[in-house]
Amino acid sequence: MASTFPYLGHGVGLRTKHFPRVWEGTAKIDWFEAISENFMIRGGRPLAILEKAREAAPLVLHGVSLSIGSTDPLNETYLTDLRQLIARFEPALVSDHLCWGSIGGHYAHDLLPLPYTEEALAVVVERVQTVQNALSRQILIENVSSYLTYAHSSMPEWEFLAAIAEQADCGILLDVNNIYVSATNHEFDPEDYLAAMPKDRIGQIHLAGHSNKERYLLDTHDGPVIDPVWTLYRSALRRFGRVSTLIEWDDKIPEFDELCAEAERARAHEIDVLGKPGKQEELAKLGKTDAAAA
Amino acid sequence: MPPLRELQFSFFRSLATSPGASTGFDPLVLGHIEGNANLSSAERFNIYAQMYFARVVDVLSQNFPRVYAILGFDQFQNLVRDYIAQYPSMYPTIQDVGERFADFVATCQTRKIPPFLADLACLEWLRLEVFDAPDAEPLQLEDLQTIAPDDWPNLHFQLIPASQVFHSTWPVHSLWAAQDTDQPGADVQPQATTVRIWRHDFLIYQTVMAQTEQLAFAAVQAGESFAGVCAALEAVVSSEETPQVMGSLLLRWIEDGLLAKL
Repeated sequence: MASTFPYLGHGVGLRTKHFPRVWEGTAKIDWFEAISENFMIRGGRPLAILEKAREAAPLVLHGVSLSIGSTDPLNETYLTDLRQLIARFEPALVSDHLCWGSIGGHYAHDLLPLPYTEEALAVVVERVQTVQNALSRQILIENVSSYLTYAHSSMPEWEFLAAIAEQADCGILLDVNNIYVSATNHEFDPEDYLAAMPKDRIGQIHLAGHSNKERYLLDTHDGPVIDPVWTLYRSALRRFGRVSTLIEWDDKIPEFDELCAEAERARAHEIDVLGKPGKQEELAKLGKTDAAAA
Repeated sequence: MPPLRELQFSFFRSLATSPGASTGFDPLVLGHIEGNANLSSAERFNIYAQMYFARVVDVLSQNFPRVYAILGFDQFQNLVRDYIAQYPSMYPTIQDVGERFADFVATCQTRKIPPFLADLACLEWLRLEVFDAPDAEPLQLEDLQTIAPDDWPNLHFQLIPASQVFHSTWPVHSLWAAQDTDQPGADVQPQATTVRIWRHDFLIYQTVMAQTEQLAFAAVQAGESFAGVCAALEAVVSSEETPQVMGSLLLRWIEDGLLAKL
């Protein structure tokens, strides 16, 4: 099935530090991405802020604990909570990570790497299909940064991810920084990764900063995007066209305006590579059609 | 090549059995991780092992800031190491990882910790529970003016869901409020204390309750009618004084946003 994902422009992650700006209505951005688990609560300030953010701009829900690669049963309570969040906030996109993070009912709260085997592929495909059926919508699966690979993997990560997207009929959230980090840590060409991605499955892009630990790169989201990652982003734009792009910044979080400036850098790269968005794309960002706008 | 499930169990055991350790990983896991001249398989696994522990320490230090301040980083980290080894997270949301921390501290035999620490941890956890408890529209003073005098005895006031009561054998509220983090609690003495914790306009408050308020509060919590709440007060207040005392309590509770709209 062909996938069509909305083009939302250039967004930022919704973080506690910027809640006052969202509350007072001065956090102007194309769209917000919220970490799903942070809002799986019953009430209080975070949900009120999320309501404000949703009123101000399109919203995307991004999970970290679906544990799509686990061999445990899917957590039904989690799926119920996610379904309720989706019903309440009507996100434009819903995503989680290509990893596992729980086993035996225990959670590692990390994005742990999978071996890229036929067995793991079957596990993930079946679970993505189950989740999509439970949520009655497509989800996007994001490539993670990794620091180890398994000797018995039978295919590269890009082949594994592309196979999941095709077989499970889901979208891909392409984290360009993660590709760069993993490519450095595992010595592969990041362009090979991009070349293997099915264009019509790319629904969103993540950009972020990382830390150089000398012997490896660590995905810390604690600084600006570095030049080689911008270069890779430009390459992704040439391959995939205009894709909703998000700046992730989770540690040493700057003021909202500085974060937005990073999103504007992404926009400038997009315009440089693809030109300015056409009228239809601008209207789509606003959730309108040409006729409705008229 | 082990089945994926076996690999995942071994991987998690290596992370969780001795949290933060940088050696002693399961050979079954290491045997399947590719190492190279830059990083061995154990060094690669250790990146995950350190992140697992650091992330839990970080979240718990944010969720239990006073406990953290009292113990300092090293002692707190050691306590968390024992805790997470015994109680690995069972929840998708990392903010829930501290759910059993106060209970663990109460029974912890392996570390030299202040005797009031478990109660302080419990107070900090209750504050978190109140923070994201369900919303409710608070009762306003004007709402009371619409109630007919004859209806008062059968009125059932309800507390907002974002409220909790905590009974402690220590003056935890003063420990929580202490600004001096060098030696807080160094000379604290046991003192039976009942604290109510609530949320108002998204902020968390706490205050010590005197005996009269405790009785009335408990009666409201138990679902007693207004007449029943007044009767409960009469255990410590004369029947002549009850209307005035109850009136003062109602006013304070409404001012605090503690009662839900009828």
